[in-house]
Amino acid sequence: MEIAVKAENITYSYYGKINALSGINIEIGRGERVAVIGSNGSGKSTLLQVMDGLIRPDAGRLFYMGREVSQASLKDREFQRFFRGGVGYVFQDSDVQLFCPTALDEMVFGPMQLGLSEEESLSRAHDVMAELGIEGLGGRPSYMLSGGEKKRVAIGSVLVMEPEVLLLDEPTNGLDPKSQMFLIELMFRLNENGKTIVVATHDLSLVDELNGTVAVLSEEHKIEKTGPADTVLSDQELLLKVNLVHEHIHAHGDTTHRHVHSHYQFHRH
Amino acid sequence: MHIPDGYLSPQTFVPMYAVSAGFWAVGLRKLKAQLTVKQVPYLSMAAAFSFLIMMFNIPIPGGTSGHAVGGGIIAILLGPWTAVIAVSVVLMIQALVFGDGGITAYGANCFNMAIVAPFVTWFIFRAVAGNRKSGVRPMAGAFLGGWLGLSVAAACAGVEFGIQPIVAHGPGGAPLYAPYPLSIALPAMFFGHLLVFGPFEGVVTMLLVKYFYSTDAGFAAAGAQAAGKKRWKLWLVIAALAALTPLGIIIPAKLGGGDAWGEWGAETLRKMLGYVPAGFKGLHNLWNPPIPNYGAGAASSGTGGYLASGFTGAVLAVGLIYLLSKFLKGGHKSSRLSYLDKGLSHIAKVTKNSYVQWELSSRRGFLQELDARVKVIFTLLMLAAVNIRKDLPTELVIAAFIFILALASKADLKLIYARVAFIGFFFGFLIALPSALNIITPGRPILTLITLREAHSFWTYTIPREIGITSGGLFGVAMLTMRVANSVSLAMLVLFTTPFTEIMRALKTFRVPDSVLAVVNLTYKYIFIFAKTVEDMHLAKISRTAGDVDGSEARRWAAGRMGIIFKKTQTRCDEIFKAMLSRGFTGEMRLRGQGAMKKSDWLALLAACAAGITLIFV
Ligand SMILES: Nc1ncnc2c1ncn2[C@@H]1O[C@H](COP(=O)(O)OP(=O)(O)OP(=O)(O)O)[C@@H](O)[C@H]1O
Ligand SMILES: [Mg+2]
Repeated sequence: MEIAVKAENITYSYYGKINALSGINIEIGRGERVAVIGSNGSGKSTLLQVMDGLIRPDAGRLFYMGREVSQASLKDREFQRFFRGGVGYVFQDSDVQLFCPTALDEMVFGPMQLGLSEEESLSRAHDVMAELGIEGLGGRPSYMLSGGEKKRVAIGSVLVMEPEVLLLDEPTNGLDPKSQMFLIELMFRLNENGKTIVVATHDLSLVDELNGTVAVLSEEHKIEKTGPADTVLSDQELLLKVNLVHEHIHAHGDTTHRHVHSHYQFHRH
Repeated sequence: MHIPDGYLSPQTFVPMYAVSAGFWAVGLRKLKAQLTVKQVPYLSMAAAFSFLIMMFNIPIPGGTSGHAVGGGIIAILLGPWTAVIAVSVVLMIQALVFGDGGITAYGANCFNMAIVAPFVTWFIFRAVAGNRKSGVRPMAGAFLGGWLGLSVAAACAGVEFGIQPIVAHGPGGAPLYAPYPLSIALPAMFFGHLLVFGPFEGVVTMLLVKYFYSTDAGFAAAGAQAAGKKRWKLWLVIAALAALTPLGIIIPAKLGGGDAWGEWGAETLRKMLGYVPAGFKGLHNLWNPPIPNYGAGAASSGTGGYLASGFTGAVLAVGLIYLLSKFLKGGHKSSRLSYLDKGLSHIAKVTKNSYVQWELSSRRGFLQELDARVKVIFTLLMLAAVNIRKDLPTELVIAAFIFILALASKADLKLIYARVAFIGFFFGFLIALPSALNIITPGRPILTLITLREAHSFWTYTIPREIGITSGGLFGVAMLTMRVANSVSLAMLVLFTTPFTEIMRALKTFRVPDSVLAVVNLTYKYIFIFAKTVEDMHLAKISRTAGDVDGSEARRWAAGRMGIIFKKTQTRCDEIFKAMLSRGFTGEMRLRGQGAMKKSDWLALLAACAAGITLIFV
């Protein structure tokens, strides 16, 4: 399988003090569905930002389609267009991502920066908005959208660029069950069309649903394990160790017993 | 009892200034420490009251006349130190604006009326009334206090007059300033007040004490805060007092009361003495007040002028006290910081709201339907006309035109014109105002404000003898105000009827480089983020603090928060920059252009050009 994104020994700390990633190695094959899981603060968002070339790691190297992504290579216009057009990133916080005056402007921003004509950009924008069910929101400024609508606009603004690799940071956060299902279906559809999907999340039911490869980040900001979803999800000890599940202690009659409690198991359908 | 210039020698008025200055310093310190916001209206009311009560001249038929001061009652109700400041402010207005009491004698006048009278009244009232809040003793104390307070003050003035022949006389022993010896001056001042004006002051003081003590027993103790509900009534009383001021000259005229003792002019002195003292001559014309003698001197409008003076003086007193309290309270660190804090979140809120409003400028109307490009051209043409033409009629035509457009566009007239008035006033009128004077714009004044004794010139400046407003200056002020108002109303109207994006796109069609637009666009976004951050944090603070926060804590909050707000905004903006990079932003932003113009847009464009060219060249 062709490797889409490869991270080699990535280490990153904020301001040289707050450790966020230490020695991360990960390979993401083209057309794969990958879930990066870990507790709050384990470094998921940071890893995704490194993969998108937004922050430069203190150490380690990043490759996209076999070409190194670095400060120097990103200066090259041709590579820049190739990389930016190829990798799309949906931010955890939609407010950050929506910086244009209206939703429609948001949609055409990416394609226009990539050098597409205005007509082409607009026609893509309308297609994507129809697909996401936000046709009616084109004229609205972002602060007049609900959280879920914002998320759709944010996803749409990336999809119009037709990226090969889609990085999604906590995409289902704050969405109602129907929208969550919609999003999961969308990811599958994109994946079937050959797109690579990388999702950062701590939502185990989403991981289960996605049913792809799982990379587990520990609280020490290291990759604890990589493997297929069902193997990782059934490894209670591992999940306990990285604090994605918690122990419940409660009494049954007169015997106290402890059992591991994962919300994912309870809500499994 | 207002000693004019020329009656006191420098040997007397300089030390009197020094003594009074000591009391002012202490008074201001006490006021600063104790003044609460709620007391400010009472303080200004007290000053207005004192100003007005002094306008009620009481005649001694066939002799002199005099008046009450009101300092005693202020001392009883608001404290003697408050009275010192309030009455001093009043005396300053009287001296500077109305020429009642001299400039050199201001220190002495303050000593007599603003210091001696209030303190004597206050001591006597305390001694007689004790802690009683009702019954005979407070009444008696108030009457005695007011009566004796004024009388002792008058005796002080008498002494000041009386020592002049001793401390300052010419070579032949001729008095240089006030001519009468102590044996005449002291009894004249003292008995006049002890027998007539003092009892009047006593009665006024007593009635007011009775009023305040019966309406609210806690009034005096609570520093006048408790009577808040009846404040408008008190203002009515002040207004009524002002309306009655003409009695202050009508009654003395009817009964033939002459000038107050020791307040004669040069002519009268010559008649009385057969000469004018040499020192007096040099000093008595020192100051030319804008409204001499409370306007009563003007033959045409005696009582009218006096009445107007009463209102003017009262308003001045209130205004000055407000300014003074603002100034005193402004020095308080904690309140200033939380004021800043409040101000910041207020500005943030306004910014955010106008941003939203702008985006929502979708009310159907004339300008809203027009293509943004037409509006940009129209605005530029109009701005050119507004600022190139040099005549008022054109400005007025343009103002009317803008108003009609605003009406046709169903714009929020109140909002637009409130801002226009504000900006026009501060950036047009106020800035241009000094140039209306012939000090700055030479010319013949059409309205003289101040007449100096002679013209002064130094270096390249000349201060003419008659300082006033010139017609050229007035025209200049009107022009600048109109230009600013027109420019602002035009800009506001177009902005409020055109969403920001539209303007950006219109500018793009006019070949404004994308990089410039990107910067404008981002700045606009950042301001919004900043405003939103400030507002969110303000709300978060409100939700996290229960009740009042004490001064030092509020200060820490505010200081810490300023930093955090900036930091937060910056982080936010960094994040957004990342989001832009992620979507291919390379530093040269490419923006969406605009569709074709409609027929109506072309028509409007033609009309705008025609109107603009007509206004500029015809
Ligand atoms: N802007 C920042 N400045 C400083 N430290 C940061 C910043 N962003 C994240 N960190 C720190 O870096 C570490 C990793 O953060 P990251 O946002 O990548 O975690 P995450 O796994 O995405 O968490 P979450 O599930 O809460 O989104 C955390 O310890 C966090 O405190
Ligand atoms: Mg995160």
